[in-house]
Amino acid sequence: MLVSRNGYTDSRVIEGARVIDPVEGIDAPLTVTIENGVITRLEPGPGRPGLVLAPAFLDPHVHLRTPGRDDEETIASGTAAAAAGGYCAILAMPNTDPVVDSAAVLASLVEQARVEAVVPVGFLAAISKRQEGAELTEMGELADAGAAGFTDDGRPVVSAGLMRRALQYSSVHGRRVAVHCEEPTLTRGGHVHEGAVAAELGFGGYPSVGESVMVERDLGLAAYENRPLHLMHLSARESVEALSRAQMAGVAATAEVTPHHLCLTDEAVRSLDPNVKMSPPLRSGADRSALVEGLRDGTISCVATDHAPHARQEKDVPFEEAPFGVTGLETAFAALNTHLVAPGLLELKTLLERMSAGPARAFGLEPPRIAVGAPANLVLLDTESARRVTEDGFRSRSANSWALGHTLKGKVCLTVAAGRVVHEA
Amino acid sequence: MSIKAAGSSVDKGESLKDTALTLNAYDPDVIVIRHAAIGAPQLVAEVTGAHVVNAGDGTHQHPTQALLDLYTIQQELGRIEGLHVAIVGDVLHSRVARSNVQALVMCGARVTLVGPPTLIPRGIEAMRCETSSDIEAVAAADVVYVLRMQRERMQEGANYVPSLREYTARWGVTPERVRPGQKVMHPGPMNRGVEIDPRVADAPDALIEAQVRAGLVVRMAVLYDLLTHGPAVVPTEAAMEVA
Repeated sequence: MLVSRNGYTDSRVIEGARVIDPVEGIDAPLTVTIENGVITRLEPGPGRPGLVLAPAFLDPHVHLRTPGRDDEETIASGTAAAAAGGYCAILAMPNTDPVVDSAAVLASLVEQARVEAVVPVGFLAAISKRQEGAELTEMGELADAGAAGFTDDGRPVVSAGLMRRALQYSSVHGRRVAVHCEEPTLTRGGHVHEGAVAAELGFGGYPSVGESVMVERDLGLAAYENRPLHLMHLSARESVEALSRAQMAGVAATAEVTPHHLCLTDEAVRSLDPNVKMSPPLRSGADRSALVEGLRDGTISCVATDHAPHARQEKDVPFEEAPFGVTGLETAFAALNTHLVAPGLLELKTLLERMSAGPARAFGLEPPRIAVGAPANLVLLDTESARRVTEDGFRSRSANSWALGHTLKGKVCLTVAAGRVVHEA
Repeated sequence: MSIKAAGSSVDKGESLKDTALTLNAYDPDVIVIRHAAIGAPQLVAEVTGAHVVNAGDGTHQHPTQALLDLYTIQQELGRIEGLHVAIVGDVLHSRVARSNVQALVMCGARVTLVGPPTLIPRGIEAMRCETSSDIEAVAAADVVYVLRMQRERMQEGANYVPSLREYTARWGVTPERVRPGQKVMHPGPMNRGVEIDPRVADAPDALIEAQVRAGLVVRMAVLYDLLTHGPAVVPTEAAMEVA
């Protein structure tokens, strides 16, 4: 399901770091030896303050904009950005032009990824043809062609009937169905979370309930069909509560949350900066707290960037006219380390788990781990190193980052993906 | 120099940023902009060296309208602080309402927003005003400020109110709903017989023509101050929020 450039593997000795692997239960200063892409030795070693070696990250929600908008991102640039962010694998969304809704389109992406993907990438295919919400794609054939899951991300599956069929049919291919939860009749014309900030600034409101009613519907369908379901980019407190109730009732539902929803609230919109405009929108402080708590207690098991590159000219317009979406691959760890770990809202090891094993499990992938004999998927972090985020530092082809101008603490010093050193700084 | 979208390069797909940069090349002292998108004046201010006056950006703000309304109230009633102003109608889509709430509250007035619950934005109380869906709430006010009912909001399927007829019946400002001495204001243009009864609009207590006159002098004053770099001492925060 995951594909990247074939070729060499690396050998390397990494020393001086505190090794944290929540999956293996490791938290100790160790020297890690990699030979030909495989971890061959773990030995007690010295530790340097701030230096942490962990299983590399996996981002289950990336827009690579290919095919159709390779001026904004390509497989090469998007996976290079992922490498720079500490990711050893990413999952790409199918809302491209054309949509990834046929084995032919998927096969051409897989082919391209074999040539240019810096880190392994998995491609999700659409739930419905052209993502129009009317007819199911040929999910069996798409799964055989390597689809890593199914989603109509960017759009909700409006028809409850179609959503039910997609869940029923998922038992045939075994891949995860992932949903963008939005009730369009409640969110139409909405640019900003419905609340005091939108009221004051005059923006059309995109209410929390526009997400949570769809979350409730889809959880209800997943419960009825007894099928797993993945909820994308949760933003509202009510959604987290609904998810928690469903999980307690035995529904195999997983969910993800983005760094921007974890770090910011709708207060940021007062800047009228188009780089804080995304769907779902930044919400209230209470929503943010619920998301952080959900991530901490595991109700939400994944951090996902929803990395959504946009061309400069498309964001260089008044807020209301700007498209939704922000980049995130290259700032995710630093943002969360700065806004959640440093102030004590989340433990570092919990964050590391939610950025790596959590997303892997949600999509049925092998969690990266630090163990003798395991393929090397590692990230070396300097949690104390701070830098100011600037446009010229990005590997992504787009620079529509909400973190521009922010000073963030947490540097990705080294990324090893599938046994290969893919980033070193 | 006056530039309209129709017939300009905007029609040919020129971005606002490029329009602003083009105007900036003429080295203007002041750019006055009215634009359908929230944040357009801010973008122009960021890319030009001119003073930028927001003459209305979408449903966000209409600062000079609020200034002229404050001026009118001050002239007619001798004060703003302590007055009770009821703003009636489609607050949700009204930049006039937002600027007025902000300005009136800043000057110490009490503000009540009155209208259909579908047209009162959720959370607006954070601007330190009250809300009511009952037209009777205007009775206690010193000033009844009537907003224009925008007909495009009544399009089929919008469902903000079932019909203009029902809106007028429930929230129209009629002679029965105002009392003598209660001042009535409207930013214009009016839909007589919809949000405001012609008898109210033409009554001696209506300040609507005074508002128009105030508009001229207040906007002259804004331009004068910007062109002469005065008034010298304005508390920066207040100046930014109002203008």
